[in-house]
Amino acid sequence: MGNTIGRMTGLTLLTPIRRQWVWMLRLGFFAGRFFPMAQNAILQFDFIHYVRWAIVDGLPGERLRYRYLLFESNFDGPWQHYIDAFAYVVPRWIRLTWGRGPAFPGPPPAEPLKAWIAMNSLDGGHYYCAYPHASTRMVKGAVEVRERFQRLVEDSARLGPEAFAAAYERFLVESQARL
Amino acid sequence: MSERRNHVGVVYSLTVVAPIAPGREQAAREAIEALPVAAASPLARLEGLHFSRLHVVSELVFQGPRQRHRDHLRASQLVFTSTFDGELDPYLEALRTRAGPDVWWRHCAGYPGSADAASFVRFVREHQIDSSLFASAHPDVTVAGVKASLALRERIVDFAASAHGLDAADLQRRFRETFA
Amino acid sequence: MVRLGRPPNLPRRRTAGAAIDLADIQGDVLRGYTHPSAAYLFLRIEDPRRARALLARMLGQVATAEPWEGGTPATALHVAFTYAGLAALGVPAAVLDSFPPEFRDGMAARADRLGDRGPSAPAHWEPGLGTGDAHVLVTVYAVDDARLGQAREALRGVGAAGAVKIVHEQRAAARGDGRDHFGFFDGIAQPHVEGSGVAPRPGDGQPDGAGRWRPVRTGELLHGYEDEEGRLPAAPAPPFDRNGTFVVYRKLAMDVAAFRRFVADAGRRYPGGPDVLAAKIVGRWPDGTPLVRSPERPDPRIAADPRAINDFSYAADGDGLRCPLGAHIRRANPRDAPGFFRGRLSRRHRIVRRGRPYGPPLAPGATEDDGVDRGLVFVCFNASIWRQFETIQALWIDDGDPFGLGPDKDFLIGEPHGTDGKMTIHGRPPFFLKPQPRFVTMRGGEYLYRPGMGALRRLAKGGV
Repeated sequence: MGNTIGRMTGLTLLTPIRRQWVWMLRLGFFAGRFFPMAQNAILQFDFIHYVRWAIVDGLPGERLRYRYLLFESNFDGPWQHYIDAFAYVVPRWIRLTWGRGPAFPGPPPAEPLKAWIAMNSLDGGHYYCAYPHASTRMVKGAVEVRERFQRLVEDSARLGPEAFAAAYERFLVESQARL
Repeated sequence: MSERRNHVGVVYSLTVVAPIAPGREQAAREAIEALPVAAASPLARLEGLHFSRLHVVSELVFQGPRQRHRDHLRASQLVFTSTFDGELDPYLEALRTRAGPDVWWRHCAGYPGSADAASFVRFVREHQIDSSLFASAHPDVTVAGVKASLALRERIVDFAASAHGLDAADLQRRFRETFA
Repeated sequence: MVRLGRPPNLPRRRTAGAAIDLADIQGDVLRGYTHPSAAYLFLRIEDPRRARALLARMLGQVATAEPWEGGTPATALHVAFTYAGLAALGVPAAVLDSFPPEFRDGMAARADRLGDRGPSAPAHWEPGLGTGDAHVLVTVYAVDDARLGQAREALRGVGAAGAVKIVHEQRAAARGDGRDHFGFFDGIAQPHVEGSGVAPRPGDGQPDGAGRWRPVRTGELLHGYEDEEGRLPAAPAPPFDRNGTFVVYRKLAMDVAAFRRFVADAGRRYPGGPDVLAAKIVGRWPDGTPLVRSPERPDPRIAADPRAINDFSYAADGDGLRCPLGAHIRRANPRDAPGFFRGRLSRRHRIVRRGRPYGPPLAPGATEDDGVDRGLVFVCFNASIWRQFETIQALWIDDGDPFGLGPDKDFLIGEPHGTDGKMTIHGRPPFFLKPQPRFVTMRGGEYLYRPGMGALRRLAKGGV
């Protein structure tokens, strides 16, 4: 199912869009670029590194009756749990995005959606990740910690021992969920 | 092509879908499957590359009786995606000169090879599909930033685990020795 | 009424109007037995025809889920089969193929994803487990060891010779105080399953998103009933499509001396001291008080109150300052912890645990191992091994990412082979335990299927 390496799963779907809804998807994506609400709906789960949607209008040399929605996502962990999260927490967004295709099984429940995804998942090939054992939370957490840590290093140069000890403790208290 | 759509934060999403020449589908699949994985992948030579995927699509999935028209592909398509730091042109130059892309694209119709930069770039751009929406949980961090942050986190935890109970002067001294 | 080893603060639950086919379900699936003694006999089928005849003779002793008239029987017996066992009994290929892939693979083949590595890897398991030889698991419960011995002998006498061979056997015995070998009161949290006919206690079910608890849907435990999605869960083909469940068996050896040494040693450096440190690792105090309700000391009033001891929520402890984010019980059952969306992402990963400790206790105060085998026979039931047990084990015990803990494993039971491992004790300031020692070693296990009574009868007749 998709491709995996380390913790990562790559999931790619290429699914037809019913003609009458292409405009709505285009509008939705356009709005999504400027209004974070849609992105937050997807990204709130903290297990997606990068996600992209692309509307395929046509391919050279091909005569296609439908436009296609290409979806590619890179996320942590087994894809079924990822889909559970979507199906149980933001099912409307899922229906809005893929529901413009024929025979899409709207969530909830999640099982028919998983079957639909399994059927449509583009498998095989080569999957590369520069940091295959780092989850999204680990990356986000480490980046935040690094920023805060720079200030602590500066403190260690300019503060006296008691003040530094207090700054060090503050740093640990603030960062502990990310260490 | 509206380049902005392919950007978020410091990263760029590249999607290239190119038709495979007649009779070359099996060879393309095998070439892709034969690529070494992980650190040995040719794509690992590209420092700013976060994720990349290569696969062959030989048919479009039929959604069932509720799909009124059935589409068939005349040619199998080779799908190549990348998520990388910075702009497209520098990435394509690195891809062309360091990752050996002939291995997969030479099976595609009209591929000019990687010797000439201009024709290589033209091929990629002609087959590029823009993202309609590209999002990331950490859009502002580069590959180098990810690796450095993760490594630093380990060192911080090691230090914190060994520094319990030190008095203030010792703590500061050891901290400076370790990190400054 | 004779107290059959039930710990003092967990009195008998009242039955409360069951709604499922109790007569067709093997009894220990819906109700935990209080029989302290148990024997787990793994059998290899030598002759399918004679094995079926043996099964037919045993059927009368298999207890169903119907309430026991005339009080608790002195012994009770249950049967489950591995995939190899079903094949050996001649179940047709089409039916065998309808079983899910993880069951067909068997637990040993999935060791890496479960974290059974290094000393816990199948190469080191005890004989008879994980080799494909285990076909049938006969579980015998008894009120005491004497009755257990008698039941075991009776089994031998019933013509087992030539039909089956015992390839692995394990005795277990609940301690009188209900504690595990680390000294912690165990087995408190059991999901309240809809239709089980057992009265619920607050905290046993799933959080309903409004601060209360609701039962877990029956289909999370038993095939043929609606699950948390409101649909029938995927189940094997008939006759195994109803009233059956999957069984996960794991023999977990516990190094009590190592745990005591670690707690004493790290407890000297930890500002709260060794007792608090041990509770932080587990998520409860030794008497069962949940840390989230009483982070600084055990509370006998809570521990003694069955309506309080399991009634707690993690929703207000997102920082882990009361109960660390990686504490053992928090990993095994995240409830409504932040990140699980008020239980929506935990509700399909519940399991029903039925294990027992095994081996004599280590002498109180001893901090050197005495070479005696002791630990926990972990047994759980679930409708889907992959979605329930394996998710907990692979994603929540052997990893920490769903809790924001990256690769940190469960500090109490995780297998640290190949990593340094660590645990964060959240606090002001936090305290880090690094590296992670090994307290628990996996010594062998199997995936099995516990059929309903009707399916058992068909198996015995050879009519599947």
